[in-house]
Amino acid sequence: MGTQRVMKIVRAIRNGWIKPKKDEKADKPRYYLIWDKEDDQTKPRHNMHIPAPKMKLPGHEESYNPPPEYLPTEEEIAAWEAMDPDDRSQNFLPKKYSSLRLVPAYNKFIQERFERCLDLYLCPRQRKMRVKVNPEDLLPKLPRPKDLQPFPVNGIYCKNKLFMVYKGHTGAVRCLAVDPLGQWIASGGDDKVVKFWEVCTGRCIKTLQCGGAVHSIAWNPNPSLTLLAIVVEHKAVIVNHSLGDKLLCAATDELIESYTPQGEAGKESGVQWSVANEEDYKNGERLVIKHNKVISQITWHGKGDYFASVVPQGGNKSVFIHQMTKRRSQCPFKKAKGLIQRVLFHPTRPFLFVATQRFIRVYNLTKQELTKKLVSNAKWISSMAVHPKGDNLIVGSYDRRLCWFDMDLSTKPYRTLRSHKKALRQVTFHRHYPLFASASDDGTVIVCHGRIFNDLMQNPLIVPVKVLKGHKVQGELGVLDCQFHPSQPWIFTAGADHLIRLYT
Amino acid sequence: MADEESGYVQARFTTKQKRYAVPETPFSVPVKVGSQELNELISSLLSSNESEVSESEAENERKFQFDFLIDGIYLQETLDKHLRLYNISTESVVEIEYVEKHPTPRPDNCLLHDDWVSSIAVCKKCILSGSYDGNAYMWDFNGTCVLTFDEHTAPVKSVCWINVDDDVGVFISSSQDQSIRLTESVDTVAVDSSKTKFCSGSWDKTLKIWSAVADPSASDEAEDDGKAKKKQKTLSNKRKATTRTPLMTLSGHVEAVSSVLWIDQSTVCSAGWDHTIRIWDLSAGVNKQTLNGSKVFCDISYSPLSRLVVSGSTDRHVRLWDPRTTDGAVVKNTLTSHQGWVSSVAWSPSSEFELISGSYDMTVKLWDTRSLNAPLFTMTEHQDKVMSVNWTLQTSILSGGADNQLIIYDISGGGWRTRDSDMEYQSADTT
Repeated sequence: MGTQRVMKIVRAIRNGWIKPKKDEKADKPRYYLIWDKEDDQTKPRHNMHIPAPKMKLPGHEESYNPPPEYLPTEEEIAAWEAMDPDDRSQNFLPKKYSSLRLVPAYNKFIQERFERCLDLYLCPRQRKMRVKVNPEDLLPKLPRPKDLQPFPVNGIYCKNKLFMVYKGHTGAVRCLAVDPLGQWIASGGDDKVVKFWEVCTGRCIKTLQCGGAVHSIAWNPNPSLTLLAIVVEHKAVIVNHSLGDKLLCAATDELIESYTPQGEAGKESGVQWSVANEEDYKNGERLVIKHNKVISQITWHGKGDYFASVVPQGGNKSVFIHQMTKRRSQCPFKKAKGLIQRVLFHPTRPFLFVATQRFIRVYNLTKQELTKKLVSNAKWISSMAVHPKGDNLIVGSYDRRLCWFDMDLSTKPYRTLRSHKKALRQVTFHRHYPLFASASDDGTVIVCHGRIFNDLMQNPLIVPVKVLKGHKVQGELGVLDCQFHPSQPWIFTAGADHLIRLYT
Repeated sequence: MADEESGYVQARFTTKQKRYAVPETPFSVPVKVGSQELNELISSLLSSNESEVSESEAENERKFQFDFLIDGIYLQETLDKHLRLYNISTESVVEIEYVEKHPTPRPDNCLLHDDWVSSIAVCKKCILSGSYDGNAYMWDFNGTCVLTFDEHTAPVKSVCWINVDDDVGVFISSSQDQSIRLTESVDTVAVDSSKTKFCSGSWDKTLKIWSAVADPSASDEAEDDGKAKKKQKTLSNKRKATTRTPLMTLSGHVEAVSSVLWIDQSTVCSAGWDHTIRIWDLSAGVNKQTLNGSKVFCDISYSPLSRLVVSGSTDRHVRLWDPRTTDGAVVKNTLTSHQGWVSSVAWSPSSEFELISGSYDMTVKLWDTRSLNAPLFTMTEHQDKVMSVNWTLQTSILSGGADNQLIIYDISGGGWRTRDSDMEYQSADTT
């Protein structure tokens, strides 16, 4: 160490920059309480030490002269002796001695000491770090269903009464369609009729004989056209229901009759257009499109001119797109990629959703190309519905799943709900309210709140809000179709028990 | 002290019905009593009064039953429970008002239709009913069908009297075939008090005001403004297809209009599926006020006596609205007892407290707004949904339903209502 460095330290000490070490002994008072502080604090090194559990102090029963109430009766002694030594609450019987002199040596003394020692050194003692976790905190924070109203309820207090019932079908009601204004509904079923109902009174306004089980029905989404598409086995029938404004009905008829045939008509094989014969025309049937095989589904494009039909057994020709005004059909796909279950038009853009058993393909109809392929983890898709904004899709499957796809997010489901006990038959979105519902063979309809945020970073909020019960299960079939009212938070459900219900 | 309180309470009995007045001295009444014991007390008091007059009359009086009100609320439980519930002090004298018990409605007659009864209108001589078979029927009070009008081709949704003279009655009916013979499945019509105009509400979200003066010259082909839809209107009694344009079209509802009524000469009130009750000023043709609800309205009714609007909606509640308030709480009260949609409501013509409501749960209920917890009476004669109720004459309530029946209930029961008050009402009506 150089002198300069020494001088530096000396200067620092002089100026008081470095304080010399204090004398510890000077701090300590000469006399102090040895037991002033707790053991733990004086010896911080041993804070992991866990003292041995203290032995229980003897009580009255251990006394050589216990009060008489502690002395066991004959039965108690017999019971104690019959007990397994491990089960006994105390390992001795209280006994009375008239004086301390008469108390014998305790015969179990050595054994008990030994056991105590074994306990102390063989039993590891350690602090358990117990983390207090409330199991409810692990669940995601969902808003209460009460805050998400309105949604359809059936009222807990009033069984089977608050909701309306539309009675009249004599077979299972397979399908249901709601008028775009919400004044009427139409339903078709196994009893080979289509019935029209007035929503607010539950009255059957009209019955249409179809001559075959009705498996799909779709109301024209254009409110200025009074048309309805019905599927009767091989035929797709366009019906003018003549409900509502008479002028609109007349205008619709005019539009249909304004068709002038062009040379190329009938080019597409597999379908055949014709005008309904006179008797059927009186009943309201206007156009009949005959297919080669049984049709399973029919759906309108949002503008109300095009509609698509699905023929699952049709092989290469299983999807047809028809144009009503030109009476023209085309088959958009050359090759069938699996068994097609459902098709659906995008509400705003020229896309077509095609659901096969496990995949949903999204085709761009103007560019005629595949834009997206969604992979559901379901085994057999039964139904499909698209959100009115068009970026979200729900899919129901026969293996009890409901998958929500956010198409901007991924081609895999954003969320899968498995709340139903049996196969799903139908899924549907509400047009205005953030609601969607699924109908199932277990006889229930589950209504969920599904809110989509404009902020792209925020994921959709999905909260199941209500299980609607009421339909009876008949022959493995429960609720076959469900549709929301276009403007109210109401849902119509069609059941295999011949009834249509309205939950409000 | 507490023991004493639980035992007795000082009560003074008052009534507005002079004939049943008892001395105003306070009585000491045990608090455990209900209205039945009070009834006995009053009748014994009355009989002791009347004994001087004549014994037989006192016997008559004893038959009357009374209801008791404390601070304008019906006594439904025992006295102590009621006092505790409404926080009324037992220290001071409790004023108990008593009124004669409302006579039990008794089904008097049943008019069988061929189809659902959708609407009822009543005048002093006869009953008009609209049915889903497309006919309007006129009945006399003995239950015989006087006339059948088969002008409509679709279910009749609403009927209404325009004018009833001694031998000529003018009425309008609206139907789903869009005519009165009216426009696009017009759901509801109402006639104003001066009987020169009527108003219709429809599924096309508009209200239309029409002239009801029988004016044969106004038969020009009508073109509705904006929508260019032909709207027809025919006075059924004339049997002449005169077509008219509406005097005024009020649009503002965003969903179907389910019910309209006139509040006074220039004010129309309408309720609709868009969860609103709107009040329209006809002189300006604007929507003066909007009362927002949370459920679809099926029917509304206005009472000039209480100046309240009552609404029936697709949940099970009957709600009272005060159209005069402009701030916040416009739902004055909610009456809950129905178990289905409340399809129709009607105020009593004579009492500012009483109203009836018909519901899809097959019942008609008679309410007193002073007793909010429970209806006074529940009538369960209908076998299916009740579509329409009417209480134009105070002696009878009418209800029509989906079981094709129109049931007339007699509520006169032989009380003061039919004797003095009825006369007053009729004299007021004629002036």
